[in-house]
Amino acid sequence: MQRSTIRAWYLVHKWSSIVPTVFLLMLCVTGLPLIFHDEIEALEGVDYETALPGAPSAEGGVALDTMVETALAERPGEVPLFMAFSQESPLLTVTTGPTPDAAGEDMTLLFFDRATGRSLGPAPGGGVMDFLLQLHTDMFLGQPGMWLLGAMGALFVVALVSGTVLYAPFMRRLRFGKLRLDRSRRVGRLDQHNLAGIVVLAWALVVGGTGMINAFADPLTDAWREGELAAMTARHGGADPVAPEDYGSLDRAMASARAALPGRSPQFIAFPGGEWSTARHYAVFFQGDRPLTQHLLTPALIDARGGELVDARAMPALNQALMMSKPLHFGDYGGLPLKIVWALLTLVTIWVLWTGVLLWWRRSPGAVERRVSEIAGGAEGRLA
Amino acid sequence: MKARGSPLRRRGRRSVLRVFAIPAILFAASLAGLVLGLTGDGLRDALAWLLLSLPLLAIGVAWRRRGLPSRYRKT
Repeated sequence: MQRSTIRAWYLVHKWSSIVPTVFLLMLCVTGLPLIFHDEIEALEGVDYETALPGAPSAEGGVALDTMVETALAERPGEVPLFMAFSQESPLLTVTTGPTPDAAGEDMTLLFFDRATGRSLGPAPGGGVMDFLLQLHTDMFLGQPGMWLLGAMGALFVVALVSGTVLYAPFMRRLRFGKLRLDRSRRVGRLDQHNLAGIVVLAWALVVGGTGMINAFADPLTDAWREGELAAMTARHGGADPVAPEDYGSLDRAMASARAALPGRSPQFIAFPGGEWSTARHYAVFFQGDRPLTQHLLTPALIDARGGELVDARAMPALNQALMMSKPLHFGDYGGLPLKIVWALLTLVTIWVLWTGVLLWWRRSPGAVERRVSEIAGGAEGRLA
Repeated sequence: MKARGSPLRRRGRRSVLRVFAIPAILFAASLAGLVLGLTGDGLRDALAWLLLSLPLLAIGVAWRRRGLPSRYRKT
């Protein structure tokens, strides 16, 4: 590799690392407890998923119309926005809000036991985990915060790639995994940075990349609603709004949807007028029926007034990629051992970031040229 | 690449292929683990744990073989 090429990659690595480092450290530190949110919430005594006996709410139980009535009795004057099902327990959640297009902060999430029809009260919220999640998602800055963190994720990917490019010439004279802690502090740190960085490369690329995709999730959902969903409804008499008092039976709508997608399990229902449906339809989102496709949702659109099926179509590739990217970012799909590995890999990533900060912080004048020479010559070559 | 006889060309240099041999194996193992865990439970999850642990194992091995500062060496 030419010295000028190495110099260019070195500068790319330096700046694509320095800019997002503070944000990445924050994301790693807040992400660590979030990996174990199920276990932590269970300790806090709100683990309805394992506590409730009975059939999963996605399969059956008390009529859906009754569940909506129970929910609205708790929130008089409000309208239903979402209903979500569990695949493991009778837990059923209903989200209500003042209007069909209510903003996230005006929504209320209520828990129910579908086996008995009993209310379990509002979802516990406002705890430490919610705070961490909010910090991790948008730093309490809303959409601009998500975009900022998404951009930091993109820089992280650039830093990983440029670091890997520099790894090649640097390691020509060192065997893999060599840690020269018997040399200067800087050399020891550099070797730790390089080893930790190269071994977590694949995992970090996947978690960084999927995090970036998640940051751009809302605009992708908007695009789906305005494109595909609009096209589905356009061929079926448009989408004149239906007032909440005219909503037809949810059980009939669910029956039509199940008839169109037999054997699939529903994950949630979006009521008319929100971000996940049109102004006049119930959208019932079904999971895939195989392990690999269970994260992919297929919406069935049902006329909210009459309860007949309009269309059922898989979401576009980009939105599917978004859904697949969620478990790959959260690491919550392979049991507790996977979460522990996930946490350890996060710690390794923190170490890469931290040694990187120290390597940059403790630099001396003229450092760039010496570093470029060190990489160009191979670690043990000239000027090492 | 430098021409033969350049001062940078000396013994002990490894090709890019050799430099990336182990990193490439760890890369492929990690990706395979990430995807296998998604495709099913049971054996596939166990394989995912195993494959994703390999990068951690590599760090552990390297740490055991680290060169210690001279003040820690028995001389």
